Amino acid sequence: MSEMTATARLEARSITVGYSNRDVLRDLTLSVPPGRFTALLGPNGSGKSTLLRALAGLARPSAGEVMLNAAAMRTMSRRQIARHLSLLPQTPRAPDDISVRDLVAQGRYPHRGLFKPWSSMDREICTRAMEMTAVADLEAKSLGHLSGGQRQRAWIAMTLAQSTDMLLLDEPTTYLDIAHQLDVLDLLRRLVRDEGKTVVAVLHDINHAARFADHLCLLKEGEIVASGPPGEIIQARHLRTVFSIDATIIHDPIDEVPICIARR
Amino acid sequence: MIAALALPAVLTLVLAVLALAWGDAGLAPADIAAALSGDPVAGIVVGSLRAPRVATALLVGACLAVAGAITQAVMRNPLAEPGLLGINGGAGLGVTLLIVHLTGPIGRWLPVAGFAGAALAAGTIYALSWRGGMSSIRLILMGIGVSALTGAGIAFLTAFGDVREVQRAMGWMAGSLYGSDWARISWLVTWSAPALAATWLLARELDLLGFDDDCVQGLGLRLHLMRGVLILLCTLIAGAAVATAGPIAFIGLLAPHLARLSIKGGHVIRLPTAALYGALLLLAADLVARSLMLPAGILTPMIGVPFIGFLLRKQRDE
Amino acid sequence: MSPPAEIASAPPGRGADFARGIGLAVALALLPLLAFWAVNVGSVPIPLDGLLAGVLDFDGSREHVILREVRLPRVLAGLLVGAQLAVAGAIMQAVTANPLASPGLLGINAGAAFAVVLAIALAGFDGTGTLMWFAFLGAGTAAVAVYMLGSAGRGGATPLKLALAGAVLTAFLASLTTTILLRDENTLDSVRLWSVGSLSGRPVDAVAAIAPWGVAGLMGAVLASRPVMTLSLGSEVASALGQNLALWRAVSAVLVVLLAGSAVALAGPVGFVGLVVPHVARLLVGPDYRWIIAYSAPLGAGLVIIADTGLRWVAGIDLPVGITMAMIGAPVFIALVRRRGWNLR
Repeated sequence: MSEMTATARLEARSITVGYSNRDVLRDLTLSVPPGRFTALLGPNGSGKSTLLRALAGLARPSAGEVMLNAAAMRTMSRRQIARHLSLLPQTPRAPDDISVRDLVAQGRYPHRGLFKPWSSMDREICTRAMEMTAVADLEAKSLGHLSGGQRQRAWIAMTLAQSTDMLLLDEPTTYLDIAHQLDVLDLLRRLVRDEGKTVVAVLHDINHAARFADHLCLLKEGEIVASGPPGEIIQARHLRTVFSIDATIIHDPIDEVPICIARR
Repeated sequence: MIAALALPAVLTLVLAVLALAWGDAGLAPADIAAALSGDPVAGIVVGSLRAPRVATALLVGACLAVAGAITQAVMRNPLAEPGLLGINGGAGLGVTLLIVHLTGPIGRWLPVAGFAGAALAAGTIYALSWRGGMSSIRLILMGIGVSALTGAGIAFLTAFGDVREVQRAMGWMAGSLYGSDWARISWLVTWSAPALAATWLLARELDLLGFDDDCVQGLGLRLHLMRGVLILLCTLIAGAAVATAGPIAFIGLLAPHLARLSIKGGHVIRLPTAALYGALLLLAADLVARSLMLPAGILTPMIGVPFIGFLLRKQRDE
Repeated sequence: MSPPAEIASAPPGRGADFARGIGLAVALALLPLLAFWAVNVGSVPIPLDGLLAGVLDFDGSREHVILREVRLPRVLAGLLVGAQLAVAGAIMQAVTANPLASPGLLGINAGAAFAVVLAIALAGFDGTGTLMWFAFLGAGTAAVAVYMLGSAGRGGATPLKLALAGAVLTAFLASLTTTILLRDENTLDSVRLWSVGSLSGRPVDAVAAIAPWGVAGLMGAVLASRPVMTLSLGSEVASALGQNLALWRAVSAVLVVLLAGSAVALAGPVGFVGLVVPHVARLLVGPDYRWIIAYSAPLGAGLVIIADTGLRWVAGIDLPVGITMAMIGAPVFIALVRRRGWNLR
């Protein structure tokens, strides 16, 4: 696994991104805090996923620049980018009959050359990634035979095997039951705390974001409306602006985490 | 793993010996050994008639299998085969044009026309599917559309051509190993061997193509470039095979599945396994075809379709 | 590909239905004109009074013989085949919620054609009325086979998998047909034109043998168009609406086999009519399959007549309609695929 670096910097400098002459993001600027867990929140169609894809270099900005470690992303090759950040799409697909071990091994792709054989270091990194995500026992099973929660952890193990400082995840908790949602979020939390990784995730649940993330970005219609630590962001007025809901904010009696109760 | 490969390897060997021995003039294995050590009569039968045919069956079968594995990976579809890239239709149109419109000794130009037609059709399909990016679905649909066009072209030529020429073209399009010779084999090797080697070196990329686009690019693969390169390799390999033996269907569809069923792991081992199965399948089909006096290309679907039924049952049971 | 959303946005009122009704009447009224033009294309011109006389008051003249033995059967066959294949395609697209569904792409035409060739070669059957039963059998078997092939594996019968299964089956049947034809020159000779799809040389009694079945199929399709429309909303919605899924799927399948099978028995496997025409109808009348089915009949009939007659009229070249349809249809298909963001997993 990589050192405790937390130096990787990712920022969007007034980017505009669109699909077929409709701008999804307009003149958006965002600096991802290194070594923290950032959650992107916003209603459907607000541009969260597009922002994530732009940060991963998959959606090309028509204006502005995405900077990775102070270099413009458009000048970098896919492989260079993949050595610094890994991406987990919302519904990643792989052949059903691939084993967990083989899936995780794909994470080493950006580090291997055409004639460079599989090394013991590659193997160690994969084993470590599977242990961290608690899928080591399942390594011989094929992906199609896993439960939803196991499958998601296997995918996260693959992105970990990529040994990058930064993890970008698009709604990693969708389709999971509540226990598995908390598992995944807790795993991300630990990756930030123990491994010094930078995590950016699109999340749907405001309360999960408030509990697990260090930094929240609220998006509406392609613009960032507010960003900051959960205590500042989870406020009734912000939630009304962004989600058009009436909400009451209370605080968890145990750890003071803000909790949003939506009334309408 | 060794055991999984041993069965097709042994079967291929047995069938190859059988194919060398069996024919109008039967040869005992001892005669084949004699031919190898210089007996003139046995040498002619084996060396210039049967051995080239066996070698062509093995090579063409292997080429079709590898091309099929590429198509299934690139199109992300287990039912895909090289014919969908327009290779059979293009080659058929090229050959029919040549046969119907040119006179004189054209025999040695047939592979060239077939190869050119295949490459042109595959290029057209690729160009038509490109819309600021490539999608496997558009590729398949364009393949169906362009194949319909080449089919109409062939039908047009055969409806108005001279009957004897039409029959010659139809014979070619049935796909046959009859008349194989060493010159053609060396031509096939020249075109396909580098492409086969390059494909094997890209085995890791083939593994990755089974993933979704964002995931693959997130891992650092230059997806569009890689798809283009692989389609080019597939065109070279399948085009050369079709140019040599005519369109032979279903080997490209079946062999990769047999490889997947018999062996676990990535394309590094799956590609050679598929090639072995492809060689075995075509050799077997050609043996049966010889005994029934039919072109081999007609028999492969008859093996292929029941096998697909078996595959589907198996899938359902899982 | 998402009928429910489109329906919700379609203007409901009677005004739109009225306009569609007028449009349908115009399309139907244009057909006789088109047919008259098609009857007239050829070396012997036939004026309108000659046409009526030839039909009502046959006098044995060369003109009348040409009319009754050559021109009229050809045009009538074209009208029937076009309407039948287009309506079959529309039903298939509705029931499978699959924009690629059509008798040609899904191998149903190939199944019918193979059964016919087999019946001729092995048992020496002839006569379109007899062969039609083999065409029905082949079409039905092919439909079942393609559905089974295409629905295996994860995700059920997706449009793409069905199309691929159709391509696989077509390749398989083509190879079997070639086997038969390579071994049997007589059969090759008698079906060479028919096997690429052709209207020329169809005898009057062949048309007469097919017509009742074709017309019955067309009328059945119109009668069944409301339940077919409900089926197009997807199996879950349809059964939630109280529809007997199995019954109406079976009815639709029988209609498709009837329409496509008899068309193939008459004119051979003509592709693309069943694919392209329903899409054109959808562009004209929106996503309501009741109207799409109704419009497909005259549009398909007109298209086949134009494809069969156009080139003869312009350049005097008599190409089998199967070839001209592919030359018109394949580019349209390619353009459709390029234009629309079809979501076809």
